[in-house]
Amino acid sequence: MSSDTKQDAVIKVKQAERHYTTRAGTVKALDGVDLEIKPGEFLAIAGPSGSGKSTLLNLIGALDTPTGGEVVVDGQNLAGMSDADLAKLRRDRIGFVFQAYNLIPVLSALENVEYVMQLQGQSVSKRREAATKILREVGLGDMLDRRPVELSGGQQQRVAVARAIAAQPAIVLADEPTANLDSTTGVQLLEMMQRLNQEHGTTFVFSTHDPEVMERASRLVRLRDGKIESEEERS
Amino acid sequence: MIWKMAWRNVWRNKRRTLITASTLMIGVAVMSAMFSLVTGMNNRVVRNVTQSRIGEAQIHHANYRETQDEKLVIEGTDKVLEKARSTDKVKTATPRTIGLGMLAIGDRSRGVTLLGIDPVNEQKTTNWGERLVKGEYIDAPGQIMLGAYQAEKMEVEIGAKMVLTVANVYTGEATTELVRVKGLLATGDVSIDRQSALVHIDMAQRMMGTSGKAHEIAMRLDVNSDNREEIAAVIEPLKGEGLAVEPWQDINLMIAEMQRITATFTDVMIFALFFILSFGIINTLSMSLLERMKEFGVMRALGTSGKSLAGQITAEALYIGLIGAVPGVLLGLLFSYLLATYGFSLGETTAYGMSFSEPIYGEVHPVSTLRTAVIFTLLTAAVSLFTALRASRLDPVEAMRR
Repeated sequence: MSSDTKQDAVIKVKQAERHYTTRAGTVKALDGVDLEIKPGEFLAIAGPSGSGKSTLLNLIGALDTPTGGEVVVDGQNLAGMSDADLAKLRRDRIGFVFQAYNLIPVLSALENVEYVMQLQGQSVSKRREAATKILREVGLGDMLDRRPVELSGGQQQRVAVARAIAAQPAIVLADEPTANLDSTTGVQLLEMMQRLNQEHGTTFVFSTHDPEVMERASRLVRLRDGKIESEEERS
Repeated sequence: MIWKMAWRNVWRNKRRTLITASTLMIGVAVMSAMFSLVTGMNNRVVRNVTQSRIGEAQIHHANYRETQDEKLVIEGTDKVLEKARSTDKVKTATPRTIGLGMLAIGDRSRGVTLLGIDPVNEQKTTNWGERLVKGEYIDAPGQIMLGAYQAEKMEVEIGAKMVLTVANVYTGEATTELVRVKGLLATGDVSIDRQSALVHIDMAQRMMGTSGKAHEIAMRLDVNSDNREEIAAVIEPLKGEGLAVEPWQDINLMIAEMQRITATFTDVMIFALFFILSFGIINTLSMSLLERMKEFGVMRALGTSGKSLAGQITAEALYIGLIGAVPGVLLGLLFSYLLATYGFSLGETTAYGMSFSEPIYGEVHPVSTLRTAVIFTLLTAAVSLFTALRASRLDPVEAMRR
């Protein structure tokens, strides 16, 4: 753990850089970003395409490591961590919600939600009980055995949210979760995530273009050209 | 959950899975049929060797086989015979006198290998009695049995009187006797059917001047004829000074070698056939990996370890292997059964000194069929490791961009 990491920050990004070398030269996807995220925040990261939202989310989600600066997730500095350790960190401490839902097609809604808990080695009875409970909370209690193809986009995204929070991670990262949903379904999903945020105290971090998401965020961080352009507290 | 997911993934593209599994099924079935035929042919060859001239083991003078010197007889033939017959697991033992002679009828003559046999014990030892195509087995001096092929060449029939000339092995003096054709043989052993003339041992020894002394004792043993070590153990007590006591594998080296080569060849065939099939398997798994790249990326993002992902792909390959191998075993056993029942004809073929004019019958060999199926299934899992290794090294961010 970095010595200056505050105990109350679940994520600490300090002067993070993510540079890519291409034939055309070096691309600075992130260029010296500082950001702290406290437990229980409902934070939105906005910005135009290419501003570095996904790159920042990938770093926070331990899917990538910075080429400069440091990223500390739940007290663990990502620098120098092995692939296996990064996978373990993602499994145990981070939940993901993707734009395209990305449920595992051969598993039922219940099994999809159980999946991460199964990776964690939880017993069948414990994970089944937890998965059933969370699916009921997101309003899919009667669709436990349905495969993703048998669910609407909104239902799939709710399963994805249930999967993300079922294992009680420190943080849930959602990459444009409403982008593929109609506005009504998008609002319903956001309300559901807000409720889970308030009831479970789970930290949510979104990357988004959606004004509805920005409106509901407790804090809005705007990125441009790989740098933080502005930060806005919204309560 | 790995196994559950693997099983369901296998059926995501039913057609591709079934095509790949079908190639494995056909591979197992074809190999099984080939094993059936090869085993049948091998056993036929061993039967030909042991039931025809050689038996499971033979006794000679220590230097006879090397020099073919007709003077090198088995000293004390009667005692050796008695000892052989009283040895545990020796079913029969029969003496033979062997020399060169000339058969003539009218203006036609032909050089022959003279085989003096003890008709009673010979019939207990070899199957020549069952291979008579015309006439009867000889039972006294003055009678002769010939291969049907040889009789046709010399234009003789049953009852024909021929002149047999043999040289005395010690004096070189030619002895001539009249013999009457009593039986015509088709043993499948070229050396018998095309070259030999079989007469009573007493007559052969009298003409050659080797009375009471045989050149060869052939034995049938109560053992697995394929097992050289087992045969060697039975005949070990018969070894004595001046005698060569050998299993058939040491006498007919060509057949023994052929058996060894055949066993190696079938193993090579399994791997060669699988090598060809493996391209299809690798292609199926690679296609599956490419199509599901994003899904694997998501799984990696959720915290699935590279090992688990590799394990799942290997499990999918194992399932595909089993889906092909299980019906492959059943089809293979069916092929083997059909070959064992109806046989497989090679036409008029002679190989390794034996005729294969009759159909070769396969043998149902469940152990070999299962072995092939297990090898194919495990090899399928093994070739999947290439794809599994690729999947285990996937970068989740890169994979999810696909």
